[in-house]
Amino acid sequence: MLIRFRSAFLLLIVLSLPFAFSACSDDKEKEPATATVQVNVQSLVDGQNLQRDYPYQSPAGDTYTVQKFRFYLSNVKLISEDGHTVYTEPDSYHLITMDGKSGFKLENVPAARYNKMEFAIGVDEARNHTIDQFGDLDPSNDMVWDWNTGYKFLLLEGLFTGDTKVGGLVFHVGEDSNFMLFNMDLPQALDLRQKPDGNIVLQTELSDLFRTPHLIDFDELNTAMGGENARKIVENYENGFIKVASGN
Amino acid sequence: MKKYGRLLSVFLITALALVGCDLRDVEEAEPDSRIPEVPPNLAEAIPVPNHNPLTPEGIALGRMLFYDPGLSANGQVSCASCHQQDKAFSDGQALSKAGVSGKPLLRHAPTLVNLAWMDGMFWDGGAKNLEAVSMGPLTHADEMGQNLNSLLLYLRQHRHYPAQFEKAFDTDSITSPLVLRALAQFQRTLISANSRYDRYVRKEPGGKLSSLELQGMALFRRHCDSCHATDFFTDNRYHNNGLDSDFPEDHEQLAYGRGRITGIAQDIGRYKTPSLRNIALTAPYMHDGRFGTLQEVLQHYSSGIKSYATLAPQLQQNGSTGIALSLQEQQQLIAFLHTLTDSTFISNNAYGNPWELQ
Ligand code: HEC
Ligand code: HEC
Repeated sequence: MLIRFRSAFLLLIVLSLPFAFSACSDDKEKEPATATVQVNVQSLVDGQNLQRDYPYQSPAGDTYTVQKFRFYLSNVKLISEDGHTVYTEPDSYHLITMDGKSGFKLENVPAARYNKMEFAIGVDEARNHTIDQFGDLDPSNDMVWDWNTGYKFLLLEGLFTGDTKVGGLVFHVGEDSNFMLFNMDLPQALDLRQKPDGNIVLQTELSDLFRTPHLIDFDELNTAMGGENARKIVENYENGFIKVASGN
Repeated sequence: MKKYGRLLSVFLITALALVGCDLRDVEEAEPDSRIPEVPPNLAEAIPVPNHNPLTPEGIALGRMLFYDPGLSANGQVSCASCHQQDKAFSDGQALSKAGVSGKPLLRHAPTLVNLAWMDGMFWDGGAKNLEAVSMGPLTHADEMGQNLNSLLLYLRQHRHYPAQFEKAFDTDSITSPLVLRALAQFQRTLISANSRYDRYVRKEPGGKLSSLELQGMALFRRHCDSCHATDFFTDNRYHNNGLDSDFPEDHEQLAYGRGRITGIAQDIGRYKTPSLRNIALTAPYMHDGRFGTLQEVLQHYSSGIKSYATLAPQLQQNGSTGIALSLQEQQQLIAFLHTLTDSTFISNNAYGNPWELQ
């Protein structure tokens, strides 16, 4: 058995030698040019950088502070103007947090002129049903649900003073149906044919999480652990909560 | 010249690869005692996810973790505090107070058996796989109350664990996903199918059932095995078996059972069919441990079924609820249920506390 295995292996090597040579002779030819794109995410409230424990006014007129704000930005793609080149970031899961990670690098991006970006808020179904994962999906990041296996896609915790109530804000948005893809035009095309580096800035605007179509009044809605309330937040995503601010 | 350099390295790599093959062959040739055999009436092989293959080292590590109270916030609670081998990994309590807070839990601790074949865990199936399930007890404030980062600190500074993780996962970095994987591996080996009933169906020596037990088995097949199905004694699905007609919303809709997970009304009051293996060892019964004895369970099926929109159709036939069972039939069923006790499961050293043996 062992002998046979060994000779099969040798045969394989002998057969692959010509390929090894041809790979070497190809060496001189130019490798396809690639670039690196730095993506930064700015968390804003009413256009200013989000600050922990700073009193803000919600669109419904309540006062609130933020202690924790984090979300998964995932499945990042860049799409070229002619649609021929699509760059898909491998293993694309980024936990963006207000006092931690706020950016990441896209590596080996083929040189092309890109004018669209695709990304998601959340963790796709293929990776959302198991939690023994590494890196940004590591369960120690405090973003998994233990009673209903899956990730919190977006988490916001803080305190509010409403018209009639004072209390905690706990918004945990998750569940497959709340995984949301965004396809956005870059404000100006990102041309990587001439230069090796690019930059993209994304912005989140917290106020827009609470505005349209569901005006969120903290007196009535201050907790969401999935379910209907979380759905309202997700439906608000599409009205300005996240945008591509610049790309060059 | 450069080309020959490449060629040389190809040969070197090949030579190294061949040496590697030799080593692997030797290891694979060694018989492995700790990955258990699967009894043929249960299944062919243990289902294992690709990313977490069963290895003797992984199983051994999982077993150490399972029995280690050092994993809990106060250093006093291990998985085995609520899942005890002599009770087929249940705890004999309706609602355990063994957690770090001493507060009673809201659900009953079930037996841990044949988990490798289960696609949803907890009474409502909320945990989707064995690699996910431990996250609940490890972090829940009324169970082990642990913060994963403190847990990792404990493991990294431990006398034994770094070497054990190295052996099991070939890495010197101890991370949460690996803790979950090791615990899953040990739990996947908790296989029970060596009761008198099993020996009877496999026609093995000692596989005799009395006439009382056989009558019970016939009744079981008529009335019970649409849900407590196959030799797993569960269909791994969710049913409302008529325990309640009122499902309060408090505790984040805990009483909704499966309905809390799926968010749909048709699932309110449905719970996962529990396996009945070793049922004589795992009293009290049901998701809240409300019945102390099997007699009470059978009285429930016979005359205690409560109506609700989601009540299982099997339990409401010909316009009446329940499964009419005479007292004698109840005795026969109970006699049959006792044949599901697997004494080798509760005495198997491979499942015992490894810290005591050291
Ligand atoms: C304080 C008691 C307690 C401790 C400690 C505990 N459990 Fe549990 N376990 C329970 C209870 C109660 C349930 C049922 C929970 C539910 O269904 O909501 C349960 C359910 C389970 C299940 C699901 C079984 C099934 O058939 O669905 C598994 C698996 C499990 N526990 C494994 C563990 C592991 C592994 C540990 C240690 C990391 C552990 N438990 C620690 C009480 C405990
Ligand atoms: C419609 C499906 C269904 C049928 C039919 C059924 N059961 Fe059950 N059984 C369940 C479910 C679901 C549970 C768990 C319910 C809960 O705790 O909420 C259960 C629980 C039990 C338990 C308690 C197990 C434990 O570990 O707590 C026993 C014992 C039991 N059934 C025996 C029987 C017997 C005997 C019959 C036939 C007379 C029967 N069942 C018929 C679905 C069924």
